[in-house]
Amino acid sequence: MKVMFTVNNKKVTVDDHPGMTLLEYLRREEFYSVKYGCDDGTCGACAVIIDGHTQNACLTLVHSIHGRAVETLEGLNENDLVRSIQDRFLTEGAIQCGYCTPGMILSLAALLRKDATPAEAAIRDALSGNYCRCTGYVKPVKAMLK
Amino acid sequence: MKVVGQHTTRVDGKALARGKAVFADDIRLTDVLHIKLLYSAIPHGRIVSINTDKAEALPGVVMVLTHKDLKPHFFTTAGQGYPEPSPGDTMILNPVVRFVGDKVAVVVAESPDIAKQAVNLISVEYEEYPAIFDPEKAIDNEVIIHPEIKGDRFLFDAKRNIAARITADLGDVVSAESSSTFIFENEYSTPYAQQAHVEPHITLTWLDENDRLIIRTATQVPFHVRRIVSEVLDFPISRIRVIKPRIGGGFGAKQEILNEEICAVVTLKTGRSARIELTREEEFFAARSRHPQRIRLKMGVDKNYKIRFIDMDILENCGAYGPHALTVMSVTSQKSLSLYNIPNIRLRGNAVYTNLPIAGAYRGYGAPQGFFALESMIDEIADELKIDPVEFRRKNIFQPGDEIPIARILGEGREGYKMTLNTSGMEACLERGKLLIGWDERKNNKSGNIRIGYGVAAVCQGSGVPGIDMASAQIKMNEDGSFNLQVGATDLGTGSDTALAQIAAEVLEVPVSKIIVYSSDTDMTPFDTGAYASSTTYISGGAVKKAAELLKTRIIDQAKRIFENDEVKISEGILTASNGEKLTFSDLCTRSFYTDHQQQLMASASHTSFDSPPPFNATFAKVSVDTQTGHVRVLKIVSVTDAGQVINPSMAEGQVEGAIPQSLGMALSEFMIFDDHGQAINQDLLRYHIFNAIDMPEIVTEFVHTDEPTGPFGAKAVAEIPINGPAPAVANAVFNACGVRIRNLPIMPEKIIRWLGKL
Amino acid sequence: MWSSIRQILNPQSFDEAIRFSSRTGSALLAGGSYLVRGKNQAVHTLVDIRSLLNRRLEIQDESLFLGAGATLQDIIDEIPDTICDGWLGKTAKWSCHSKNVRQQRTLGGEIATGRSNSDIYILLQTLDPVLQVFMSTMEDVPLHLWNGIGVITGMKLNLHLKPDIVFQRYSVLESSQSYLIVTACRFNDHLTVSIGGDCTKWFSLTVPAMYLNDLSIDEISKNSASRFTNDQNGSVAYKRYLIHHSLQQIRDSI
Repeated sequence: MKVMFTVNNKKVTVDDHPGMTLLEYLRREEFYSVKYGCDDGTCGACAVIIDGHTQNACLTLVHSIHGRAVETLEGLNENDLVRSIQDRFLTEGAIQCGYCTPGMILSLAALLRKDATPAEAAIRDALSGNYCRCTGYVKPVKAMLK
Repeated sequence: MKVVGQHTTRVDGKALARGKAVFADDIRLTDVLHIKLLYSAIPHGRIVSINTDKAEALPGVVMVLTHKDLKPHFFTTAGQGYPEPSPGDTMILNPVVRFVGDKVAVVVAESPDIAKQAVNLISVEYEEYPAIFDPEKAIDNEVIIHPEIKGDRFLFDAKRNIAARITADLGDVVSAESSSTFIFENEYSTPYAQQAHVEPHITLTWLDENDRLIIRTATQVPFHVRRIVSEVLDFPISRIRVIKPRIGGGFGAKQEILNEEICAVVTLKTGRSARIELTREEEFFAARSRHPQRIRLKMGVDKNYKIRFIDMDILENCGAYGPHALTVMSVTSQKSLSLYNIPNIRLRGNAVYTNLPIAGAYRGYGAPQGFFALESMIDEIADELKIDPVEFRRKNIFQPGDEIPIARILGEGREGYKMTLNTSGMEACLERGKLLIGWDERKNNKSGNIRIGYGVAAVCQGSGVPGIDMASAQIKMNEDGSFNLQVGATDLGTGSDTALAQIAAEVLEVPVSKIIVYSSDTDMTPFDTGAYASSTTYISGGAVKKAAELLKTRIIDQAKRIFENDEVKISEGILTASNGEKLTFSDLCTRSFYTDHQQQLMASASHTSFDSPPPFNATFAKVSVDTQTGHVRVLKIVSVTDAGQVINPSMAEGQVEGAIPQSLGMALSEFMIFDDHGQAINQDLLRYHIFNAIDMPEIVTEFVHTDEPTGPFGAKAVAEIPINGPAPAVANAVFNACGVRIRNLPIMPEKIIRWLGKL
Repeated sequence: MWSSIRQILNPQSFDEAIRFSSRTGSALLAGGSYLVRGKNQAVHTLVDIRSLLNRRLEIQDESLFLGAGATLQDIIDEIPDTICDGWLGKTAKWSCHSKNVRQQRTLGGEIATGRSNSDIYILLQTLDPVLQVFMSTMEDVPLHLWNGIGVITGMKLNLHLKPDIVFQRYSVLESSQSYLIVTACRFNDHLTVSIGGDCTKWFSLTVPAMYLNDLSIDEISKNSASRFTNDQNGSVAYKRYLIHHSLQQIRDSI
């Protein structure tokens, strides 16, 4: 069964197994910033933005997003807001292994779109769905408070 | 210094920030085969029969391998140097299974889903044997877990289920005991904790155009992978290339040959590319975890509050196989016995087999367990003797200039080397930490239901394994004055590529942007034992510094030749002759390539060390304990570290900040639970509780500067040490808060309530 | 890959949705966070009702209307703290620590799944809103009477009663799911107490307002503790102790 949606503003038509998750689809299409880390939507390494809010691609069936807009980091690297988050992360040293980084950046971008100067609690809440084992979340949060 | 010690953006930072395809799985392989494993459903037994017909008949299944298809060969999966100081007790697939999660069959299919379905179509008949789950019952149990292994020099006594034994004696503990005024004796323990790196174990293999086996894998030890895969598959090293791309965390779990050999077998048998990725669930039972340990301590103190002796008895649970069994226990003891100047030491340790998942390397590598026990007991002693805990520690720590006698006796799996303490910032760390946590508050009266408590732990680690770790580097110059730095050293997110670039840049007096780092490729980079034992800055950095210095002299020599002048000075990328003539690096290299005294300016060097200067750390914890429910909340952690000259401040802080929640987890929330059939229960991130962004306490990280003469630019290690302190500091803080002493991690609310007599 | 799925249907009405989902092997799909995680291999047809559900959260005439399609995050973002003292938002967070998942998880799905350790579910059981459920027609059913059949399209919470709410949850970490939940709502003359967490079934009872005394607290603790087991979070005795402690705090505050 066919389904049509956009990925980074580009229209795509998918006619594949109805049980395919968005994570599988995106990685197959080489959107490698979207990553596998767990089986139950806990780690957030696969977080993408769908219609403006972050959602875990591993819990999303491709066929349930007909007509919706998906954004991955690949499509946002030239976006000013995302760039500013990336710059802050790089300056602060908030990236270590980098595996959770795309998910974190998208979660923060979605937050900043609604709240340009979030308080610490809102930042931590935005990151609550992104597991990081390297940074203790210290520098990612600090980077956003600057 | 211009570069070392300065904040420098990571050389790989931008690619990571932009989500570029740099991790192992971020490539598209043509015609790739997917591998899924069938695991044992029983904790101990023999495979009587295994029927793979239905699985093989499933469309899309290419091959199913069982123990019958592979030549029996024993090896160790431990990613260690040769000869690996771990028992050779593992086969790729063994007809005997030894834990729920032991490998039984390998299914290879056109898609992961088909492979998964096929796994469920395999039927196995087992003859079940009795199983051992309690390490206290392992020694001399009538059940023998590895009865078939004979004559392995690194397996202490298979018939008694003892994978490794460690013994060390210093001075005379017996007479020290009789001359001690105060004697203390207690038992401590730590649980099965998981590294829980976000990227699972992932390996891809293929044959290149020359039929060489290429292994692209998330590993901390590319050279050990190459050697061990070669050994296990009887395939020449010259025909194997191991490439380590960016890794999504390892923390020791990837210091292992975990499934690379399986993936390689599939490629060699089919000629096709192959891929194996563990699921998160498999990470919990089929990978590696921290060695649970039970440590009995007996210590004697004289009337001047000097520690006279320590008697340490370790019981280490290896799980079903023994990678890192001996060496983890060695580190447990050697590090914890290297902090305080105790003249009489008795050490006994046994690492035993049980029918539980396999323990392996995990950041700290035994030291967290050792320091939990030691620093808890030190705190108990201080409390008994009514002396300030920090003061008691200060009285007893080794001072710069002291020789640390235990280091000569205890190496990692063999005799050690003489160690003299060149630098120690331990006291300064303690003093600074006291200030930052508000140590004086701890004396305040505890009243009300919510009690606030403060605790401290003093810890050390090492910088590489003396006499064992070796690293090498090569640097070559390019005609724009940039340099390619090729190192075997493995960056697993620690930032070593950047730190090593900084060292090279400092020597060559160029900006870091002029150093192009390529690392961890067994074809393209020279040897390095790998990222473990906190060796990268100290040992690999040492090699980079040597290579850069050698190149620098060659650059000067070449300039002399070109200038035809014996007096040449070098400064910030410019060579100046005594008559004022100048050459930039760019000029020099261009002329060296194409026109004058032609050569490629390059140099390589190796480095090893018989020193392993300890970094030091003081960790302070502030906690609140709800004495009605027993719940503990960590409010603040202060971690002050002496890592010598810090190469990159923000990266070093990052190492500390990331280690803290791992240790807090071990203390409070992270532990594997097994049912009475040895099956792991909490095999997901909802039931294995890792500190999340909303759980984190306030963290304060600082460094105390010392200059280690044997380290590159005075550096010592920083990657592991910060994981040693938080757990004992929290346990000590809980005691300070409410008088409850938890000696067996995790600290559970019920334990506190029971201790308080409320239940 | 949820390999057992063969088709995803998009019903145009609740009527169609009921018909499609009544067949064996069919399941209603709203947000999907529970279903796709579980990947039940016995399910081959998903009936996508997300576009049929409304997401609105509205206060009208002293009642709070919550559309079943509202997400847990919508509840946190849009319901002011003055409503039920902010407990809907707080429990929504505790039910699901991940903001990413909260943005996908619908209120209807949360109620239909009915986890004993879902804080917002237990809170709602205690507040007992009236559900709008479509079976063959749209019907009003109080939550505590709902038999699990039909499609929840929304619910209505009566606000004029202004209940006093006490909510206590126990978890390993702030981000962990609750292993024990003890909550009570006092509506003028009566009190509803609910106990949930990692138990066989959550438990609720409605009693006169002054009911809680030492004896009744002991009894409730004993009865509800029997639904728990000795596990990694503690023994049954400990959980009983905590329930007892929470009930005492409830008695003292409302």
